[in-house]
Amino acid sequence: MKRYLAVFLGILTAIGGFVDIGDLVTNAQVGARFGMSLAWVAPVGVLGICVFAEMAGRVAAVSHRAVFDLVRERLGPRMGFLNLVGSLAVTFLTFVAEIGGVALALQLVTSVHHLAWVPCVALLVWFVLWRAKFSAMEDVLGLLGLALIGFAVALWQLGPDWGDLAQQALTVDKPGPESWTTYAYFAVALFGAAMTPYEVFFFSSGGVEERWTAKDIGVMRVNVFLGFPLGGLLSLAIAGCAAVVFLPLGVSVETLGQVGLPVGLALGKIGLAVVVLGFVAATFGAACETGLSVGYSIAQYFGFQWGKYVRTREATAFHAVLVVAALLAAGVLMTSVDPVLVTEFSVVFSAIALPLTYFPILVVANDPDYLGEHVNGRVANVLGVVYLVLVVVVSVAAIPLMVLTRMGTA
Amino acid sequence: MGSRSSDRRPLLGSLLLVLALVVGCAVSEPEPADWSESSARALESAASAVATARLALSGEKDGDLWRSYAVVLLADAEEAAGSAADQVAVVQTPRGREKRAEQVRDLLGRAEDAVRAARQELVAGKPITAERLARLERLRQRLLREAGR
Amino acid sequence: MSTMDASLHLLDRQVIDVDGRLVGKVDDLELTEEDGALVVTGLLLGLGALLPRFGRRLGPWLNSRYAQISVSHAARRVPAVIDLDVVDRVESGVHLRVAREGLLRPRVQGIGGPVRHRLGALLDLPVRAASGQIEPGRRPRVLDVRLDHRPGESERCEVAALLVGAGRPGALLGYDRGRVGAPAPVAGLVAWLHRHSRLVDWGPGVEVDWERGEVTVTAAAETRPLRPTS
Repeated sequence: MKRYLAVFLGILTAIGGFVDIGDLVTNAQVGARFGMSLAWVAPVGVLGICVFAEMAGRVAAVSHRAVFDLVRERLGPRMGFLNLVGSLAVTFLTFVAEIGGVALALQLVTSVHHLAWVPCVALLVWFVLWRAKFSAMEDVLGLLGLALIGFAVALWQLGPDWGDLAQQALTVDKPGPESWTTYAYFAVALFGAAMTPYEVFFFSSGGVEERWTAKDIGVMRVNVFLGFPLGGLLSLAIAGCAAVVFLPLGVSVETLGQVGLPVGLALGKIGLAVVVLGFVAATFGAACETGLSVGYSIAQYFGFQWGKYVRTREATAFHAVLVVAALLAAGVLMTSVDPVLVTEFSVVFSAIALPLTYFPILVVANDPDYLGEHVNGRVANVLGVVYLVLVVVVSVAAIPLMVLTRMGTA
Repeated sequence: MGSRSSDRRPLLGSLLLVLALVVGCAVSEPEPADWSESSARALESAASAVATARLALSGEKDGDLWRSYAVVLLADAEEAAGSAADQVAVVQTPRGREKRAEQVRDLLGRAEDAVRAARQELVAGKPITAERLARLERLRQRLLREAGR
Repeated sequence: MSTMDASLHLLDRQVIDVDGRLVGKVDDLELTEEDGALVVTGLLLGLGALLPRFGRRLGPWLNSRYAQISVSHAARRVPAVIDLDVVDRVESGVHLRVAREGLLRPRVQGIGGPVRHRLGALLDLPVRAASGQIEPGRRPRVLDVRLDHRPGESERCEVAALLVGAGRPGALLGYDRGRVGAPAPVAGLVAWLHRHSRLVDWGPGVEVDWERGEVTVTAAAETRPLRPTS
């Protein structure tokens, strides 16, 4: 009984932990501009993250090696370093965006300007990373993140024409004035939001933190293949709410306040409060995950002790990196850069950086030296190769699309 | 051969630099088509800001939003309307479009004023009238019509 | 007797102490000349070992910049060494039989001691081969070094063969060992790219010029394809 509870808890936290500032902003933006015509990207991205995370999780469970261990082992110090720099830049950008997201969410509650919140949030994130127990952090924030189910309830309460929404989704019915390049750009952004590389760094390092063994592969798979898709449904609900409320009015979503507005209109103050709590939990949880991922990546490349499974003073360098990362992120935000803009960049650069870590994981997942009998089966490899092609194509297309569409503003 | 081509490198570099400076510093007058496109885009974002303001006000009126949430929404919308107005104000108007430019600037100014007034009234705690909501809706439709969408 | 590929199975692996705590990465391997054989005697850790592996031009440049940060340290470029004796077992990481506290210190080398090299200095070296030994015109390089480990009387882990082919160390991605064949498109591509790569047995006919940075393979050397079956 206790074991089933643990599995259930794992699924719930996977759902709550799936959505972050990138998903919130991108899905609402796309819903407001394109209705449900880009809805197909969510399942494609979610299946991709499932394939990627399952491989990385399996390697972590069997060999106790996390993503950047493998990157350096397979690609060597030089390619590995370039890879580290690229992935780290994207993860840090996401970290900045998440902290900004927490500050924006707190601004909605208090109407105190988000810049005043930034130092407090950065300090709190650092404190949690320093003191909190790994599993407690993951469970509490993941469960609170479930409050975002409010979006699904709101969509239902808004009483949309479901047939119309389904038709938009199935017929890829792009609104007339938008061009196909803009459409493609937002498809890349949505893909990047769903398949953020840090999720996999965190997932595999978390597996090492929680001392998974080959016996835990089954539970890990259940979490991935149930938790992530259900989290993906939340993304669709966010897009749906924006499509119903904003698309007919011609509103473009540029702030976090707008993302939550449909929920307020549909469910009133209580519903809005629940969803804003979800904003805070989801972005705060993701801020912890990205912050840790920054430390994990650097430590795993250079080999020094990392992780919260040892005492803080046994992993001093790792905790020093976390302090510096939190300070830097707060510093970036204090230049009064718009966190929503940082988010828009972070999701596109996530899509660009994806092949860097995806490819080495795919190779190692086939190596019996690491995995013994648990190497990729036929299904994992067919999906793995299909997604290898897909992430490379998306990565190559992202920058030209970004320039051509001026980040979707043209 | 090698030494001659390396002699030329600084020359080539300075030529490129001069070219870049000339191109970069010249006052550019946008093509009329580009100008229409960018003013249409500014009108659209102003319409978006006005629509957001109206949703925020009506949400507050119906008790769906708490005060600080609505204020933040309105402040952001005000900023968006302001930057839409700036977008057109900073661009040189192409010849023959002066009248149209005047009209666009006037509309964008009205949008900005309307959103600001809405924010001020909300902060001052004045009751939100149906009349104000209707006016914002009319303004939004006008902006979108002018944008040609 | 068991074999392993130095670059694939040892380099860049995580070093873990007896209590499961992390020590560092295997940044390089120490090779010692012992009566004609090249024997692995230690793991090298630290930036002084890592930076030179960033390439034949970039590596030394980075290393000298690193030394320049603090010129008063005489031994800044000298990496720490972990003797092979304290290595317990090699899995996906290298497990030691000692605790990590105070473990890392540079090798104290007396005058007239054994001649030592670094694996990193051998990898990526261009190979000049006698005709017929290795496909010419493909700029062959040392891609990896196959090690023989003989448990028992000598307990030595010594260089048995060089993997020579086009590309850079690591370019084989582990597909040369014959056990990994999936995913098929990637494995096929790597196999095709390395269709001319060869194993060159260590011994007569193989000369390493450490000063000039070049390996010479004469007609006397034994060469064979990477996979015994194909």
